[in-house]
This record gives sequence, C-alpha cells and structure tokens, in this order.
Amino acid sequence: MPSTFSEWCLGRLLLLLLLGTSVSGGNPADPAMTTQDSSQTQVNSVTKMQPGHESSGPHVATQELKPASKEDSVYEIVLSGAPVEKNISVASPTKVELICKLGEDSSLKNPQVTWKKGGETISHTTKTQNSWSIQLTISESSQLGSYTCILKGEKELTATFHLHVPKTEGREKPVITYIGDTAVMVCKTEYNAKAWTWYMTNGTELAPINTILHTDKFEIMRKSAKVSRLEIFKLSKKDRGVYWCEAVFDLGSSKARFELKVLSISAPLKPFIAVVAEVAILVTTIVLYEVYSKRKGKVNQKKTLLGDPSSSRQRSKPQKEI
Amino acid sequence: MASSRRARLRGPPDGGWGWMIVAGCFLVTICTRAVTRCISIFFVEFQAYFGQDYARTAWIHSIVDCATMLCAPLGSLISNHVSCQVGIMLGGLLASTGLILSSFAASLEHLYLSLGVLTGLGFALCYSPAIAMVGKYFNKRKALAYGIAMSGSGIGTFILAPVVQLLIEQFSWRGALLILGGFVLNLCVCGALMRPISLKEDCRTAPEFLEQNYVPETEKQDFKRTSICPPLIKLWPHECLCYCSWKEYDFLLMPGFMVLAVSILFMAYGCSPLFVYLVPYALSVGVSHHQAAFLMSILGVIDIIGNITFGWLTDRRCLKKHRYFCYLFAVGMDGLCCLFLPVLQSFPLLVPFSFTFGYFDGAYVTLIPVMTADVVGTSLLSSALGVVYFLHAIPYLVSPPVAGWLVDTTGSYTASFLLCGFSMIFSSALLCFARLAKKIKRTHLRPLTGNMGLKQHIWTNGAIAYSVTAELDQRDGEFLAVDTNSFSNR
Repeated sequence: MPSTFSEWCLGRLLLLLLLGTSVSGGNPADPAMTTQDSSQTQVNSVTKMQPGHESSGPHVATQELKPASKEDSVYEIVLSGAPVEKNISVASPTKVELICKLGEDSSLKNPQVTWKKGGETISHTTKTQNSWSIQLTISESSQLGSYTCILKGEKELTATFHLHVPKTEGREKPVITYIGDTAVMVCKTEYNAKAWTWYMTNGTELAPINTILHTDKFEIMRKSAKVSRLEIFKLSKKDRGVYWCEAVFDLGSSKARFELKVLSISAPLKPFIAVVAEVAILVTTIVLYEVYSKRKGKVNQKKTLLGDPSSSRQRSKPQKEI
Repeated sequence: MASSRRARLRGPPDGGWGWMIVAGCFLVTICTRAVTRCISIFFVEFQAYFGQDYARTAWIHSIVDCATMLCAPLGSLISNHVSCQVGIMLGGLLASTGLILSSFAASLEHLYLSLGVLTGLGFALCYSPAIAMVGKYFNKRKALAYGIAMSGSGIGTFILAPVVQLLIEQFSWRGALLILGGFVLNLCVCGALMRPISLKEDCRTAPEFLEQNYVPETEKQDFKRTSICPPLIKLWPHECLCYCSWKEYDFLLMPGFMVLAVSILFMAYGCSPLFVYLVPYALSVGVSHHQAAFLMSILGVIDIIGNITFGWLTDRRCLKKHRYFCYLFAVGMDGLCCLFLPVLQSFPLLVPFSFTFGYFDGAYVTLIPVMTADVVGTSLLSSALGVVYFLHAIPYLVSPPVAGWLVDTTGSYTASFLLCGFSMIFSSALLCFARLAKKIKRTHLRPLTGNMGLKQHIWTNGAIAYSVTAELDQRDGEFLAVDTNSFSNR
C-alpha cells in the first residue's frame, strides 16, 4: 500500500539524513584532531614534486580540493560585514590561490589590504578591481595555517582561510558493544590517506594497537584509501576505553577518536523483559475480561430464557410482518 | 434457540467495542508499518558493522516489504479459517521472534532471513486481518474508523523514529533490535482485543438467513456472496472444505473486484516511485538537504491529517453515497500533482505539492479498505484485503527500478514523473468508466426486465413473512427466483 512505500522512502530519507549527520560528525572544534608537523620528515621527497603530479603514495588522481570556482585550487571569500572563516583541506603539496573580494553592498572604498599569516605579513599580493589575492605553494606542513586578509578603511573587514590537513571522521557517540561481540570502528577521511595507524590509550599515552593487543584479537582492514576499519574480536570489559585512528597525509596527519563501551547482555534485557511483562499482563487482563463478559452474557441469557416463561414463548414464536 | 441466534445476528455496532478494535488496529499499524519504516534507521549501523554497501543492506527492507505484502493473502486465510485473534497473535509471535533472532545476527544473510522473511511474514499475518476486523465493526462511521486506524503508520513513525535512534545510541543495534522485538510483541495484545463478531450477512444456512427481517441495501451484495464456510474449528467433511476455500475466493471473478484490482495495480505503480524520487529530484533542482527532508516531513504529517479528515468527510451522509467518486477523485488529484511536478523547480513551489500530494495520498489510503468492503461485502473483506495488498507488492517492486532506469536514460525526472502521473490518472479513469458502464447497463436492463427490476418478494415460512427489496439485474433476479423455489420445495 502506498503508505508502506512512503515509509520505505521516508526510511531511506532518514538513512540519508543519518549518513549526512554521521559524515558531518567530525567537529572542527574537536581538540582531538591535531595536526602533527614533525613526524612527516620522511615525506620530504614529496616537497620537490610539482603539484598536480601523482605522488608516490596513494593514488591521488582525484584531487578533490573543493575550490570555490571551477579552476584548480582557487578559494574566494566575499566580504560584506562580519568576519568570515573558511576551512580548506590540503592533503598533498599543491598551489593555492586565496582571494578576498569586496562585496557589492559594502561601503568600503579603496581599502588598505594586508595579508597575514600568524604575525608576519605576506608581500606578494595581487590586486584586481576589487579583489586581492595571494598565491601560495604549499609543500611543507609548516606552510599550513591560517591566512588572514585584512581590509582597512572606515571599517575593518577580515577574512581567514584555515589551511589544514584533511580531517578524519570518527564517532563522537560511544561505540556500544557487548561482551563476546566484535567491535567495529570505521575511520573515514575525504582525501586519500597514505597510511593509517590505530592507537589505544594506555594510561595517558597513545600506544599503537599492535603493541598492546595480540594479533588474533584485532584486525585492521583498509577498505580503500579513504577508509580504515578496525575490528576487535571477543570483547571483554578490559577492552573498553578510547581508541584513536590516525590518517597520514603528505603534509601531516590527523586523528579521530572513538570511545568503546562494552556492556553485558543484561543491559538491554531489562527493558525487554519489562515490555514482555507488560504484554503478558495486558493479554491476560483482556482474556480474563472476555471470559468474564462471556460468562455474564450466558448467565443473562439463561435468566431471560428461564426467568419469564410467557415472554420467552412469545419470543420463540416467529414474528408476523407484512 | 432462535432468540439467542437472533441476538447474535445483528448489524455492525458502529461503536462500543468497535472503538477498542480501532485502537487495536491502530496499534497493529504502528507495530507493523512504523516498525518497517524504522528498520531503515538500522542501515547505517548494519553497513558499518558488516562492511557492506548500501544496496546490499537495503535488501533487508525490500524483503520485509515484499514478505509483508506477498503473504497478505496467507494472513487473511489463517484468520478466516482459524480465528482472527489466533492469526494476529501468531503473527505477533513470529515477528517478535524474527526481531529477537536478528539481534544475534552474525552476517547480513542471517538478517535477510530473520529480519526480512520471518518478521515480514509475521507482519503479513497481522495486517490485513486487523483492517478487515475494523470493517466488520463499523458501517456508518467506517471511513472515520479506518482513517484513525491507518493514521497509526504516520504517527507511529514520528514517535518510533527518535525512540529507535535513542535505543541504538544506548544499546547499539543488537540491543535495539531486542527491545524492538519486545515492542512488536504488543501485536499479541491487539490480537486479544479482536473479539469475533458474527454479523447478519455472515455464513449461515439458508433457513437461518431467511429469518432476517430486512436486508439493507449496503449489504445486498453479501446476500449474493454468502459463504457457507464456517471456521475450521467445526468439523466439516473434506469436500466441503475444498469447496469452501474456493468459494471464499469467489469474489476474484467479480467484475467489480477485477476492475478495482486493475486500478489498484496502476495506482500502486504510479505512486511508489514518487516517494523514492522526490528527495533526489528536489536536490537536483537546487533544494538543500534540510529543505528536502522538510518536504518529506510535510508529506508525512499531511498524510496523517488526510487519513483522518478524509475518513471523517466521506462518512458524512452527503458524501457517503459518493465514496467511490471521492476515492477516484483522490487518486486522480494525486496523478495530476505528479504531472505538474516536473514544472515545479524550486522549494516554494514544491511545498504546496507536498501538501496536496500528501493529503490525497492519506485520503485514498483510508478509502482502499472501504472501497473493497463496498465491492465484496464485509464477510469476504479479510480475503479481499489480502489480495488487494498482495496486488500492491508487484508494482512496488517493479516501479521504482523502472523509474530509475528512465531517469538514467533520459537524464531527467520528467519522464518517470509523467509516467507515474498518467498511471494514476488511468487508474482513476478506469474506475470512472467502470461505474459509468455499470450505470448504462442498468438503465438498459431496466426496460428489459420490467417487473423483475424492482422486486418485492414475499415468502411465508409458517408465520415468517420476509420481504426483500433489491435492485437486481436480470441474472441476479433468476438466482433469487431459483433460491426461493428451492426453499419453498423443502
């Protein structure tokens, strides 16, 4: 029936929404996602490569930088009033152009423009009619960071471009599993990662998972360059805690956090037994009520048949109707 | 005893215990339809846990829907031959077992069987008998009762969807399925509520039947279609049983039912892709994800409103006689909306579409059981509903892939929406023509049959005088004459 189909499709929509929310679950303000600069010295060879070439690492033919315009790696912010910020993920060395454009409704005329990274000013800026841009070649992790353009006039307008390593998405909500079950943690990122590492919190430090757990106990599967999957078998209460997955890119790495909770089977069993008890009580009540009302009806019938003989004889005689 | 028999032979109560039946059917709709919808919420979890892609996971939902609709005739068969209460309770136990077993699933195939086949079969055993039961208890307020009962799917989804999401967060999908299995056990409560009712037109032998004083016009069809098959509990010879089960499906050859069946095929074909492709279409014309979700929410809410208000409306005396036309008007309006959809290319234009389509979708959904009851009569309603929902299954399976293929080959949604719109308009036009043909046939036959058109037969059986006034065509008149002859010969 149509409503069942609508339900199917509403279900699919719910699914889409949930997928959307789970994908956007990576909170930019999550302090867990840090960028590590120092550990990437082994990728120095990449810094000499021209952007656009395929790196020696994972296949990066699909460079999805998601620029604002159709040309490669051009990012634009249109300023109107409030300060604007934009996050740009840079996975491998590339050339980037950042443009600050003045909005048409802005009252600012011929402002003084400065580009800053951190505290230092950048000098090679280009100016067109009402937009100002800088061209950057990102080849090292130290070149990532926040680039701000400041337009000074009667008012001061700012726009910031945050260049960072692509974020990895984990799961903010705890992963619930049961004793004896398998825990599955899936780590995703938008760009192809060169390598994946999984860590477990050992006290206050992070230790790679292969140093803590026996090889029989877990399995890391790399489904694709963008997805890594950790499975932990035969769970017990000791396995609960915080796990981290780290995606390694040319210019750095980023981490995502998972919290694993191991419950015993009795946890969902309590609400289940409560509902079953409610059903049993209701069914018994209804059946008893039915039996009671049937008995009462029979007694009433017997009374009407035996109680008044004359009326019963009249009733048993068929009615004459013309 | 004649008096006790007469006490049992009464018309539909139109209230009293009937409202408990409506409440039971409402709960059945929540436990079957809304739970089926909420199974989709588990898909993200299944995908992540089993590492499969969306298409393989979505098979679970297709299997549940397919099993529910294909086994609908089985459900009505069991409830007719054993008892409605036993049928629904059995369905509840099966569905609950399916959900509980799937909470221990180790693979996706295990889920196909437990969550797909077993749960779907359990739902099928509950759904059509419960709806048929509502039809037995109501006559004057039938459409309103159905409206309230059917609104369970929309309301249930609103309540269950966040609850299921919460359960998954608290207990993971295994615990959530276990608890959902417990919840579905409430179908047994609904089964216990379905007190059987024996109506005037139910199966009785001829002398008993003729004891009745008056056969109302709405039940004149049942006079023709009395099945003389009592429940299996009574011991009947084997030949009679075979004859009975065949006689039960006698309505399949009725021209009125065949027309309804064909029109339902086309209607289901037309309406199903729309729900699948509304959101992708909206996204393709530039509507954002949140707005597209909002469109579907509007559809859902207005569906519920359409269910109840249209049910109430068609119960009004002025519209009751024209229920048939209200139904085909609702289907036609939906088809018209579909035809306009390719022109609507922005969110402010899609909102009124959602309103209109949702309202009329809820409207005709309420009227499907009412129409079926009008065509086949109340005694055969259970079997007929089983067949009607079975007929929904095939277009649902076929239509979205065909529409998807059309979208892929033509590159736009226009062709598939036009096909849906024309399919629904054809369905409504078919019903219109059938009614016109019937009217023309009647006006032709009336001068031919002459006196036989409007008959007043009065028999006396001892002291019983029995008059039947019915508008019969010639064939039925002969049937009546034969019957009275056989009776008078006894």
